[in-house]
Amino acid sequence: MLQGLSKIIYYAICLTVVLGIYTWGSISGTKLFGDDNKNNDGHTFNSSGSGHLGGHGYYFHK
Amino acid sequence: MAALGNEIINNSSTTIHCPACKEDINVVETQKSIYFSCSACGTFFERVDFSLNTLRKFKEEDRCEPTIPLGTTGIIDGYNYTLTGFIRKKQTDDDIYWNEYTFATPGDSWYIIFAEYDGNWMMIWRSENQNIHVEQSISGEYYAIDTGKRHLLYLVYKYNIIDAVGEFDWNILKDEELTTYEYATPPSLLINEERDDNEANWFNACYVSPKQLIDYFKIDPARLPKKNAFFSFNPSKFYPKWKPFMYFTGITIMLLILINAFIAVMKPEKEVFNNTFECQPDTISNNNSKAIISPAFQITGSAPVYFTIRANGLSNSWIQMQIELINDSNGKVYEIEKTIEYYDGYDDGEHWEEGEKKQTALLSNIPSGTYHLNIYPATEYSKSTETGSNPVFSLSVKQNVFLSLNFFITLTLILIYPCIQLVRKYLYENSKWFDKEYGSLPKN
Repeated sequence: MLQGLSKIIYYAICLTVVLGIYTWGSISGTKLFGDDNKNNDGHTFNSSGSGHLGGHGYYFHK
Repeated sequence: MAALGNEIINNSSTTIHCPACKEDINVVETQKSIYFSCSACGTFFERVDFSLNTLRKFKEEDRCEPTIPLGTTGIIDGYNYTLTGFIRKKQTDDDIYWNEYTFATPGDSWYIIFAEYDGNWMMIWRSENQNIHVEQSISGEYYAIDTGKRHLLYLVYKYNIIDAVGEFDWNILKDEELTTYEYATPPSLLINEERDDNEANWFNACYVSPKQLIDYFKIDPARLPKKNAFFSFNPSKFYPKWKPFMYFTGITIMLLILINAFIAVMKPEKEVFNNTFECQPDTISNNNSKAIISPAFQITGSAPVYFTIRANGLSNSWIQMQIELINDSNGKVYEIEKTIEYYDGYDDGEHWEEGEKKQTALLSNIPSGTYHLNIYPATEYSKSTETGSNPVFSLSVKQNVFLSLNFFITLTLILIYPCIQLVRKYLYENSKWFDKEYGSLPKN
């Protein structure tokens, strides 16, 4: 089996990397190919500020 | 018939004289060999007691020099073999020629044959299992079943012996009565040689690369005939990799499933929030609707968080909303925007509908903590006036949902290369085995 593995070493490495990334994604709960979060700059909510963080003009402003 | 001197007919002698040209023929199997063919003049004869009977003289134009010299020795799987005979054959009904080299194990009845066609080599040996049966499929194809493995019949032919050199323990000319059936499961082959009286002998065959042949018999590579790529029995270069390749792919897929099962147990899917909200017009500020602030709820992460927004009562209207998931301890905001719109009606008596009453969104990699939602809806209140009620929507939040896109993209990445190889294998075999030059599958 190990002897056979040496014949496909690059394929085995690629699959191991793919499986590793998938495992990391599953454990961390990360969607690997983009999610629906519109807030990509990671800013924080400012409770004393104007509240609403972008979007349409008719949205509520605190 | 030629009389022989006593020194020649002695069974222990290592040479025999050709009855036609008196050329010395070296004999390896002095006890077994009774048929001989002279390399000098092409006379095929048999030894009967104290006489030599000429059976055939091969035509000069058909004769050729063996690639591997007679007497060549080699070790295969621990057995010593010596090349004792060379036969050149021609398919009876076609101009297809090939050569066969008979290697004997001195003092033993076991022998193997190396067949060469257009520079492609096969090793042939008598099958241990002579109980192979043939069956016909519904589509009319014939298969030989050997220990559960099916081999498709792809060639049926008879042949003539047009040249031979060396010694034999059977009358090779009698082989011209045989009908040969070849059943293929590349890169191996099953060969059935049947006589008219239905006596059948089964042989196994497998492809041998020129490199293997050189290793076995230490042949000068320059002597080997050039390989014709269009008429080959040789497997593709990826054949040696095929088995470990499929094993590893299978193991990877099993690991993928096991990882999912483990994650499902360790981080089960759970609904952390579910509530129904009513959109209300904001009469104080210039905003369309009042903001909604949800109660706090816990997320145990890191986790993917899945939002399902439903507005089942929505009709010919829309609700647009911005939803902020806010971490109460550090104020970090995760933001989604969704619009639900649903219209329906009747045109010429036919009901139509457009849009959906449900939307979903996913936020991934959300850390553990206490969270709440700020929801900023917007809608058309003119419709509410008609119906007498404001639009209502429900919002469900689940953590640790199955990330199906991750799974299927990973599965695709795992399978894409094996699929390419499968197609390559199929195309390769198709072009090789069913090449019009090679002969087509028998109709029956």
